[in-house]
Amino acid sequence: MIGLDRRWQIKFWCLIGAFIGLAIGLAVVLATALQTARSIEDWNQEYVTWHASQVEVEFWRLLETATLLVSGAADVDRAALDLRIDLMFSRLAVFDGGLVRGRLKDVAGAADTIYAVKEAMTAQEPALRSLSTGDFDTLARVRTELLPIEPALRNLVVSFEFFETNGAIAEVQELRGLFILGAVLVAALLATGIALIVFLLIEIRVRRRLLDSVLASREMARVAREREEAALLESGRRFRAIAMANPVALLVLDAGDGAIRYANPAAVALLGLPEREPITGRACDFFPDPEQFDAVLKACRRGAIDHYDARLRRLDGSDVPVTLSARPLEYDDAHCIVVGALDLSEKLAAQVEIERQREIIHHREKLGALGSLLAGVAHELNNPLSIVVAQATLLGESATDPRTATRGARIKAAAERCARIVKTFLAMARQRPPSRGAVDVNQSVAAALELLGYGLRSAGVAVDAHLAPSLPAIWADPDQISQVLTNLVVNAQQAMVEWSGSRRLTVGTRFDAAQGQVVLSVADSGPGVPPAIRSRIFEPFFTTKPVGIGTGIGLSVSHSIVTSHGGTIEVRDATGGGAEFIVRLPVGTEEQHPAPPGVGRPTSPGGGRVLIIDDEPDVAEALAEILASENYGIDLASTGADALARLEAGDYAAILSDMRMPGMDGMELYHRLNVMKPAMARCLIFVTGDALNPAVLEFLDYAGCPHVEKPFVPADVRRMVAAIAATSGAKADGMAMSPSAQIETIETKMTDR
Amino acid sequence: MFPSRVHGASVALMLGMVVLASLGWSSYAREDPAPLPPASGPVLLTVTGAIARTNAPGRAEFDRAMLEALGVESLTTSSSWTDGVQRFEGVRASKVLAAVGARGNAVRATAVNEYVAEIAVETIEAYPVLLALRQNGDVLTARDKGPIWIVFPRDDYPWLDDPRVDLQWVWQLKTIDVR
Repeated sequence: MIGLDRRWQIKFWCLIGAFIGLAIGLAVVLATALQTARSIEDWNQEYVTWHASQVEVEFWRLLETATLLVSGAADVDRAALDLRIDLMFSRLAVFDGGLVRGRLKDVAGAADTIYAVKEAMTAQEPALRSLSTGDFDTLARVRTELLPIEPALRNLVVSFEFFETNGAIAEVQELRGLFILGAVLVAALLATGIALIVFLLIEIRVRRRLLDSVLASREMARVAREREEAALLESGRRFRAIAMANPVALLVLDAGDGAIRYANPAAVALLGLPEREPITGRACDFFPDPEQFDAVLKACRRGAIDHYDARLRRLDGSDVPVTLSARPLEYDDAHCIVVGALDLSEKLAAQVEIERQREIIHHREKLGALGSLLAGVAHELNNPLSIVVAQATLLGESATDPRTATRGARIKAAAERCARIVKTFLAMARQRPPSRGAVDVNQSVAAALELLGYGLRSAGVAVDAHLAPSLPAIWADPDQISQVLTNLVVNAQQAMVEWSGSRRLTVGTRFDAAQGQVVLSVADSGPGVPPAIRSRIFEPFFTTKPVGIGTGIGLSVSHSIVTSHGGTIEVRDATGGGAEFIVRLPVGTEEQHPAPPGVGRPTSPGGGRVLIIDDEPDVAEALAEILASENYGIDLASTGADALARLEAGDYAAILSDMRMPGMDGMELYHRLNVMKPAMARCLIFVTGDALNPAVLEFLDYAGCPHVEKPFVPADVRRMVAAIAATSGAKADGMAMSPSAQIETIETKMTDR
Repeated sequence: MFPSRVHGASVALMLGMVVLASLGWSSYAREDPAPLPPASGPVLLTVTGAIARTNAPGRAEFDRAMLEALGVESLTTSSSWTDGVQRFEGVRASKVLAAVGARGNAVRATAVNEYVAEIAVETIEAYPVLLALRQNGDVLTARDKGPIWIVFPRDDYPWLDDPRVDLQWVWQLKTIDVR
């Protein structure tokens, strides 16, 4: 009885028991009733009563017949009496066997009565059979003998009647009781049956509810299971997507034999596995060192490993450095290991690159320090060189003796050469943003060869220069172009240091009209550059030279400079052996960089007063002498304060001022003058040997004042003063021209020269 | 005086009875009416009623020899009036009815003391009902249940062990009236 509690079960089984018991009881009652009914039927046969009464009847008939015979009745004869005698014995014989004899035991005295009648009949039979008509005496004797048994016979009949009637009544009463009992049992059975039916109906309802709830629970469980499966599927899909997209190589290995059970795309790529085929290999195949693999596997079985550096061998045979981390994992009901492999190739390459960059920085710092040193030396040389140049020029100009004039010219030439060398040094070491302008490549070549001439000659290198005459200018930073040329020449010279053959440097320029490029070639007669390394020759710190010769950055720097100018640089075999570097630079487009107004404007000859401010008297005097020849009135001031005092007293056509002075320097002077006499501030020309100083450069940009770098040459000074004087004059004529525009004009002209 | 439907039914019934009677007469007329030989000894059994063969006016009388001539058979059975199984010998009742050409459905068996019981002819013909003349080898006498006792084979056919059948065990049989 599913669904019912124990109490209900007990009730149910009690009802079933009662039903069965009642049914059995009813069956017993029915059987008993049937038996009783049969007994009643038996009783109703009245066997014994009837037989006893028949005996009594035959007794009386016998006596009657005997009497009639003796009396001489006509219808009674001897045979009739004999028949009566036989019938009497026949009736008694019924009691000799069967059911009748058995019934004799039930009635007290019955058997004795029958026995007595038989005895009496047997005793009187001879007399009866001897009776004849008129034999009254015999008849009387017989009657006397037989009549006494008649009451016993009558009593016997009555006794049987009582017995059998009572028996039948008792059976009927029992039957009635059985009927009542049966009716009660039927009623009870009916009630039990109804109770059972009700019970079963309740049970059916409970079971139906139970079934409904079970079905509902099953449905809910099914829905929940489906949701769970869907969630699991989604989760699996999501995690698979994560594993697939994970940039870290993931491998799932069998913990026993190391068989690869899963590899994500990153792992496939890392190991160079075929992408579309199922992965069937073993992890040990990817370890060049089997012991390393065993160590990894053992460590994983013990627990976990982190950041284990190893080398893996790809399917194509190449090795890849990795760092491995692994954890044990239950995968597909098997003991597995999940391994994450991080490719260290890029990291190691980055470390190498960092080292290389560090080296570059180191070299740059070294070069920077060298440049600073060079700049310092050049600066210190500027003042005396300025004096030498100025004085030599003046000597040549003022000499009346031709020999003196020649000597002065030689001194001047040597001094100017010194000045150019110093300028080139300054240009190379200058740390300032590229400033482009029209550059004459031929001039830059000449300057470079001049700068490096001594070294070349010392190394026994013959120099051939084939410079195209009317070469168009290029738009470039002159300092950077000089640096490129210097680098190429030095490179050629160094390439031939240990060269036993002829040492010749050939520098050529030409104009490629078709491409609109100026082509510069620097060729040496050295060993040349093998084709295999030509692609790497412009890489930083790539050098084939012995240690201590060259830094490996010259060609790299040159390459970047040329490229930044929109040009190209390449190396090829020189005609007759050696290497030849070809630099192509686009010609300057003056249309794109129009010259400011005033270019080529003729400077007016001197005139007016010029104030020269310099703390070094020799320099001041040299400048005075340079300008005196141009008919300027010269005032000298050795300090800024002195200069301001003079400026307060009157105006000047131009003011030449040193930048670095004790007390008030050039910058302070400008600011004060700008407050005091702004117009005069516009006439300032700074003469400085400190153009490398960023603060000075910034100031000059801010003030917009022209400047002349030491060591100056007289012509530069005269032109610049003339330009400023003309500007001040133009202002007087109402024609404005900014000092910065003017300086551009001046510098252009200087470059042209 | 009767409703027409009842009157019609009565007429049909009477007509049917006439037809049946004529049929019975014609069949009786066709059979061999050879008379039974007369009884030479004391008459034990008289058959009356609807019988075809007689040896006396309106009846057939049988002495012991005539009965035994029909064929003596034995029957072993128990009874309500005897103790234990008894062996009876006598003539099968159906043979006696056949011998007299009985035409009835039932017989009235009458004893010497005028006890009467009616027995269906169907029963007599269906079972070997015996007109017993001997019991356990002894000739049945009038002092007991003789000379003739109708015995049913109740041991062989248990459904004959029934108080109603017991009433048909007529002893001291004198007359059979076929009806």
